[in-house]
Amino acid sequence: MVDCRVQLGSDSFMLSLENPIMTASGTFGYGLEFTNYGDIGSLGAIVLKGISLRPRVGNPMPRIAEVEGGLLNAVGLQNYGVEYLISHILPQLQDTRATVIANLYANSVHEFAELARILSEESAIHALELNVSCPNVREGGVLFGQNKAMLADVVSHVTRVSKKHVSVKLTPNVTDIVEMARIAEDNGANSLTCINTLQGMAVDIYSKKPKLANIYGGLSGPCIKPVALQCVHRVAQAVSIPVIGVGGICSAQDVLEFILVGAYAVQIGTATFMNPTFPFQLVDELVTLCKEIGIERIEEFRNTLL
Amino acid sequence: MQNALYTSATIVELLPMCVGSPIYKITLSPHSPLQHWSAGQFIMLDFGSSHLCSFARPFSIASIGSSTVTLYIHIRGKETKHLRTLSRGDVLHMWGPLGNSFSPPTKETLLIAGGIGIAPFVTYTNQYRTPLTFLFGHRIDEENYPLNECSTMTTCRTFHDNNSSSLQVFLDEIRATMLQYKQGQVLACGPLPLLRYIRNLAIELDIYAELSLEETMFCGVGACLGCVCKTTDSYSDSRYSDSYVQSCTAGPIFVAHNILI
Ligand SMILES: Cc1cc2nc3c(=O)[nH]c(=O)nc-3n(C[C@H](O)[C@H](O)[C@H](O)COP(=O)(O)OP(=O)(O)OC[C@H]3O[C@@H](n4cnc5c(N)ncnc54)[C@H](O)[C@@H]3O)c2cc1C
Ligand SMILES: Cc1cc2nc3c(=O)[nH]c(=O)nc-3n(C[C@H](O)[C@H](O)[C@H](O)COP(=O)(O)O)c2cc1C
Ligand code: FES
Repeated sequence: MVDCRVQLGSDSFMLSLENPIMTASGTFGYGLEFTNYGDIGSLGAIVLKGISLRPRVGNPMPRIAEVEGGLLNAVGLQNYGVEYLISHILPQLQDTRATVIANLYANSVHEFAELARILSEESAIHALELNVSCPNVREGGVLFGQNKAMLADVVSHVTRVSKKHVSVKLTPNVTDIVEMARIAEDNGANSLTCINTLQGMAVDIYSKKPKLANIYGGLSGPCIKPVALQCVHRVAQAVSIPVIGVGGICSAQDVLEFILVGAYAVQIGTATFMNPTFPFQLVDELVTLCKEIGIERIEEFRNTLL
Repeated sequence: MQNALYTSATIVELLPMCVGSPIYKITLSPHSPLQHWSAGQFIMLDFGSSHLCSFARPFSIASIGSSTVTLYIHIRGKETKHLRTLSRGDVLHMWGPLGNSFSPPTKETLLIAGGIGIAPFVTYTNQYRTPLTFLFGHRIDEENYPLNECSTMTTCRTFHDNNSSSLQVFLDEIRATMLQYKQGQVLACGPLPLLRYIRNLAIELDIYAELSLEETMFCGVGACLGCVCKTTDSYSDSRYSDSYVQSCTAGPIFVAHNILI
């Protein structure tokens, strides 16, 4: 038997997961899209597509381009809005016994706090993840994650009203991610999610056009794994709250690499697009790999990099 | 969607349609059988082109036997070119059946396809086995396409539209024929400019038409939001009116009046 359970935090906002495999926001829809492919209740947690107070149409097409080793996306947070989420989606999720994390997006501190207040009341939601790191929207988004004062402001306001575990999702598009991590921790974050996409671009020399209508987009997939590992390692050394690793994970070995450098749990993003059963398979593959290496408890392997 | 599954599948047949053809017929034997599908639906096929990072591509189901699924694939670029390196016995991965399907035939149903857009109509004509008229435009020779695989009850009229004047003949014929289907329905699949032309005609002539879109897809299950299509006010799901819907789950088939392309 391998004990895969992990605990994010130790106080009243502790989040217990059956295993460290989570899905990354924006790559797993609202979870219900995947019920044909596996039991979403068997995953550590699922993170929903970014949700805003009001519905958002998103960016024009094309929104996603394939690049070497990954994807470039500028979806622009198309979503139904929080009202629809609560009335139509959460009741269905409640029946799945999945651990559900809402990913929050807003244009202002006030809206972030309002969203957190509303979602705090929902029993189907187990934690909140603040997306202060989306590179694909004009207002809000990554601006919050790149400006120290704004980050402090939004995290403190949200954690003050939230009755749930709050994770802050950091962007690698900053000079010093450790500084941002500390600000989030100091202002009440219960955990940190590292990392959101890296800003990138792709062009076509024949049409002379950018491959995305938005021109720039967020880079994800296996090509960003070394960047993500480095961010997780540095942040995990600097803060005392749990870090959730995300970026390019494509195998059980990748999962253990993130845990080795200090991650408590991981999120699977782009890899799910290549195979909708992947996150479910990974839960089993992780156990197999742990047995092979002789890891009995996932938590004992964490942060043991020599 | 209800019955979609992810499975590995062995290639049991893989042949170019004729010598040197860029179009291949591929028959796969999925290790878990696909069930409850209908003409117009598609699967996502992963060519396994890279160990680390290969994204699957969408292909219309051209027929499903008791233990096989057949596709017709036009080699375009990055992923489809791997067909040339594959052979019988190789194992690929796929998921499906996905998306919605064409409406069943009414008394008057006109089928229109351009190029490899013929693929869903191979299933359609065989699934319903009723007399249907089919206008088929193609740029490369007819022998590249599975015309003989369509039901013999289908009246096929082919148009070799390899230059602008022959293309115009095809387009004019579409208009003239559609006019005879004002009480019926038009079902179409093919390149975007063709679908746009049919959409505009359907609106101008007030004819019911269903169009199968070929948006780029990454996940096929509604999660990535990379395949969306803009809807109009007439789209029935008010959540989406005047906004984007996933063509992999709400489509790939849309009523012409409901979308902007
Ligand atoms: C629902 C659905 C059903 C489809 N059914 C079939 C089918 O039955 N048979 C089939 O051959 N194809 C079908 N397609 C199109 C097929 O998915 C694409 O041709 C394929 O994804 C190209 O992949 P690639 O990696 O080879 O090309 P890429 O490297 O991605 O693209 C190479 C070049 O081909 C062009 N291209 C890409 N997609 C298309 C397209 N759809 N039409 C024309 N040019 C394109 C690109 O613009 C690019 O210039 C379908 C698409 C959809 C959405
Ligand atoms: C299509 C797409 C949509 C995304 N949408 C969101 C989102 O709504 N909110 C968010 O915080 N991150 C979003 N992300 C970022 C992912 O959650 C993840 O941080 C990133 O993709 C890196 O992980 P990966 O390499 O495993 O994909 C999105 C990523 C992709 C590819
Ligand atoms: S292909 Fe991903 S949402 Fe349609």
